Amino acid sequence: MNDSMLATLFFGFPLPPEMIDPRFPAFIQRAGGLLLTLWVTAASLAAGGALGALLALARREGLPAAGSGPVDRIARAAIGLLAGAIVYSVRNLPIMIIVLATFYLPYSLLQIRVPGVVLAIAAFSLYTAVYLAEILRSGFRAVGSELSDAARVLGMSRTQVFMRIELPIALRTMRPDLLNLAITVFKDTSTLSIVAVAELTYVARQMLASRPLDYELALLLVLVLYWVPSTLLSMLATRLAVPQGRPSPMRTSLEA
Amino acid sequence: MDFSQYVFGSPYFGWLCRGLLMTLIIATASALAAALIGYWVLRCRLSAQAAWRHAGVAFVAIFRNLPLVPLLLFLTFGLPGLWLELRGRPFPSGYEFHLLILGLALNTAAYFAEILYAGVMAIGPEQIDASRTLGLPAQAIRRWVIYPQAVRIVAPALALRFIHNAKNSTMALVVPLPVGLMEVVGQAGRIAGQTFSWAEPLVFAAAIHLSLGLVLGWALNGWASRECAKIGSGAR
Repeated sequence: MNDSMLATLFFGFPLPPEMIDPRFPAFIQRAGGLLLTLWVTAASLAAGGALGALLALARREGLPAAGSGPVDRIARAAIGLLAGAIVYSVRNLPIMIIVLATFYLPYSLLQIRVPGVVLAIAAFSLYTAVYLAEILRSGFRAVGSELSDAARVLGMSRTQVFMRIELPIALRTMRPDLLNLAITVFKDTSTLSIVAVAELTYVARQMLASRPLDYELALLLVLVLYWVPSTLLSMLATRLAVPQGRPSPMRTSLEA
Repeated sequence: MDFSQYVFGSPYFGWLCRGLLMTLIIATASALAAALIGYWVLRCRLSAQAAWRHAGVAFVAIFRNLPLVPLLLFLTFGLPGLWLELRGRPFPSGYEFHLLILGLALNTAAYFAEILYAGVMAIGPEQIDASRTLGLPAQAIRRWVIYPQAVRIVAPALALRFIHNAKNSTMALVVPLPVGLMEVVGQAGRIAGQTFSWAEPLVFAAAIHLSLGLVLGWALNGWASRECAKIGSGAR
């Protein structure tokens, strides 16, 4: 394997300037290979994070800010149902179909052309958001109402209770799940290779098409490039899942 | 969108039915293979010998952290290339389908082994000591004491993984398969190639996967909650 192959795996193929859509940031359209995989992952986690928080808020019973009249209640129920339907259906669809739909539906239904990288980030933001909404829901449910009730009785405002009691505790329990979600998104961006987004797997497939001398080695290297970051992150997730200061129980007698 | 070409009896309808059948076959075959591999990886992880334990841990660590698309590409393109270099003769053709099942199974097996290991670890060690004192052989302890309870504890997680495995069958899109063996998204791609529109076949593929998720979710969650209800009840 030569240096140019290696550089292509990391940074992608060079893109001719006329291919760059001026409406969207150029640096992300010019990226490729592992660099683009990381960009799409990071951008999707950020955008999906915001969207997921909104979805979770919409599904939460008794939104704090809204009024309590009958119209408010109906609107709240409708928004909750809509958010629930989005979460349910996207969670039950394979990522392959989500990616294909994001790439082919905007053009065939509305005749809109958008750069592939932007569509990729849109698809994975949606994917992140629905899974995040579920993580947030179970994370906040795990806090339990006793602590927040006690804080309310002690005179904290709703915002204070959320910021100082509910959020820190929920975040601590959610940390492993959040990391696992990041790993899943990172790994699943490889499905983008079927819609010609020039991320790591696509670069590998392009190399495959031209059959260089040792493409088996290139494919192995791609596996390693995916494996190392996700292993590091999952080791961190495992560490965070074990309660600090208390060793995990040692088991020796199971060698039955 | 124009659905007039998808009426009952039209060729595209037949293609989609074929796709549904293959999705079911791929999902079932890979889940069964994953259960088998996962069981043996679990046996490795519970072994008294350190070498087997390390092998089990390594299997889980490797295949849980590999994305499916590059893994399937490696199995269907890289492996035959390596075979040719090492053995000096070409890899027999026509095994893409088997390699696809293997790839999906390796991934799901790693998750199965990890989940089941967590279930085994959750069982009190005093139960194994008690079984030994009662004179049960190791095989019987596994069969009648450890596994039933372990499966019970992790049933919801196992059910989730089965559903995930069914969704993963769509990764077959990157494997070069004969048209008769393509699953539902592959058939959708074939139709899109003929009609120059992905919209309609994708709607069908999405509908098929949503209903599959609904049915599988209902069945497996029912199984999982029945298993959970048995915890501590002494029922088999």
